[in-house]
Amino acid sequence: MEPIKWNDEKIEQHLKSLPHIKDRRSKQELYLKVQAKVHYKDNKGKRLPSWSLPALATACALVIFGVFVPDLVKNGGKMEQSKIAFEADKGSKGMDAASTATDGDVKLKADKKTMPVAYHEPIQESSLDGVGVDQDWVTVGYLDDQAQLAIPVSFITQPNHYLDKVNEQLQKFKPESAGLVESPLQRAKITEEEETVIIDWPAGSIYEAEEPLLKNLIALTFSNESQKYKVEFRTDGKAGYDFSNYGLIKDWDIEVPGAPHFRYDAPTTDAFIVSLFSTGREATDMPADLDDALDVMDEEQERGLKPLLPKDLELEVKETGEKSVEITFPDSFKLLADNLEHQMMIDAILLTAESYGYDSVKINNTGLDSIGPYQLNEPIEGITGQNVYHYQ
Amino acid sequence: MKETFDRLYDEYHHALFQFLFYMVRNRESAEDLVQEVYIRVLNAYESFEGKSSEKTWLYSIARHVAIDWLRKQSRRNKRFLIFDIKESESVLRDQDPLPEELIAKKESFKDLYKMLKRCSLDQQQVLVLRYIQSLSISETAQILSWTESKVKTTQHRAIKELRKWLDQQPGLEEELKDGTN
Repeated sequence: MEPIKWNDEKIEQHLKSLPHIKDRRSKQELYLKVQAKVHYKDNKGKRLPSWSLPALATACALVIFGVFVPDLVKNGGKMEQSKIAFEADKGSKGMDAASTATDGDVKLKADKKTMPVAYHEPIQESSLDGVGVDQDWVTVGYLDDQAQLAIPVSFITQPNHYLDKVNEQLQKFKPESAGLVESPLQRAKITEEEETVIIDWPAGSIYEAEEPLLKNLIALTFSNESQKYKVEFRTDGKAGYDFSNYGLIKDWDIEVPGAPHFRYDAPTTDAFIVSLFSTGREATDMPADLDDALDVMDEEQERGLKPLLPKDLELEVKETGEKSVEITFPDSFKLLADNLEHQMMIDAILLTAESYGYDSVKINNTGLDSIGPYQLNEPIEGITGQNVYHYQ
Repeated sequence: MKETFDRLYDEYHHALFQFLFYMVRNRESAEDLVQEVYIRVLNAYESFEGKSSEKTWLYSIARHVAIDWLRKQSRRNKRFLIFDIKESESVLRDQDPLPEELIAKKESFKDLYKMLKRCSLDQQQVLVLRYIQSLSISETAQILSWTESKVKTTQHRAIKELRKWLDQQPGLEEELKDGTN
């Protein structure tokens, strides 16, 4: 007997006829569970805010300062000058107060401030429209010069298939020009089958030191906006690649998780914003939501990642829609216009929000109407293309 | 809130639950997730601007809830499983029992249900929305934030893949002769 083959129509009919699966709970039972959780979320906002203790401590410090300030004034203008320098630096830098507590540190920062910084700011999708020429972008992961971080670098391109754009930039970009080193992907032949990326290396082409960051680098290249979910490895056309640390691997599922963002300064003058995921950590190690992520963004991190948020800055996060959020600065902090670090702070917040799935971010109570390319009196939408490198 | 919940439940609950079940393939998880969908919907309901239809908005939230869950499961599984599992083993790893509603069905349905799991996440979403939920190409595109053309391409590829895998399944000849039920 000839076997009967499935055809498209039979499959479609079967799919349509799969059984209806019903929820066995009653409407009331479900409502009670939902109601409890919705109320819980409402109450969450009424908790004593976590910034209240630092705020109280600051208030006490100000009172003490007020008591002693007349004596300080009597001691002459030197101390006052020092305080002004400290406050100015604190305002413009918005960084860890402890690191600005001595004249030496202030000077160090002043010196650093005079150095030109090649900051590769992100772009908004809207900036790619309306210039008369179709533009697109692509992100490729590179390594820092110590192979400690996977740095996503983006490029403005002509519209093309995603993999073609990746391959083009892997050939074109010279990472050393931005203080980075080559990507292991530059040694691969990269193609696509269905929705899976095929990475084919010649045997022995991956250095052992590159392996710990390889998965993150690949995810940052192929899944930075969930373009692809899976990569398959081949060695000279044969299935799998034999890694020194992992053994023979045939495929990886890839994803770029929501994660807090920090500053990385390359040995050149290039400054990048990268997420904690760039350190090679697992997606599961990342903070669960935007609120938690912002909480850690004022802390120094491993592998040279520097905070872009001032120490103990408490941002209020309010989700206003499935993909929109409002972030409100405290009254105690005001952004400064034409301040690169403050623009980087906003970029880091936007990139972090974007990584947690928020397309639209309204930033409130900054004391400014605009900073860098952003109008702050309206939601900022479509932030993308992290660390955009513009060819000279 | 009760009034809104009642209306959403009456209009969409069965469809949302069904969608979530076929995405996560586990009744208990689908129950938890549909609950999470209502929580997200009710928390955001005031800010729903009506740019999309309420139906596609709800599906879109359900889809994100399902994907988040699937990714969490995937990460959790990776912690316990060795890296290099053969694809065939991976397919057989679907340890959730068949739903009771499916047990009474013919083997061809069970095979199809099992093969659905082999599709990519994108393909599964399209198949569930288009065929099991009977949504239009346009509605599916809105829910997934894709172009209609991408929905069509993914659907076509998914059916092609399913056909390839189903053709490799033995023992369906007699049954298919009888019809599809």
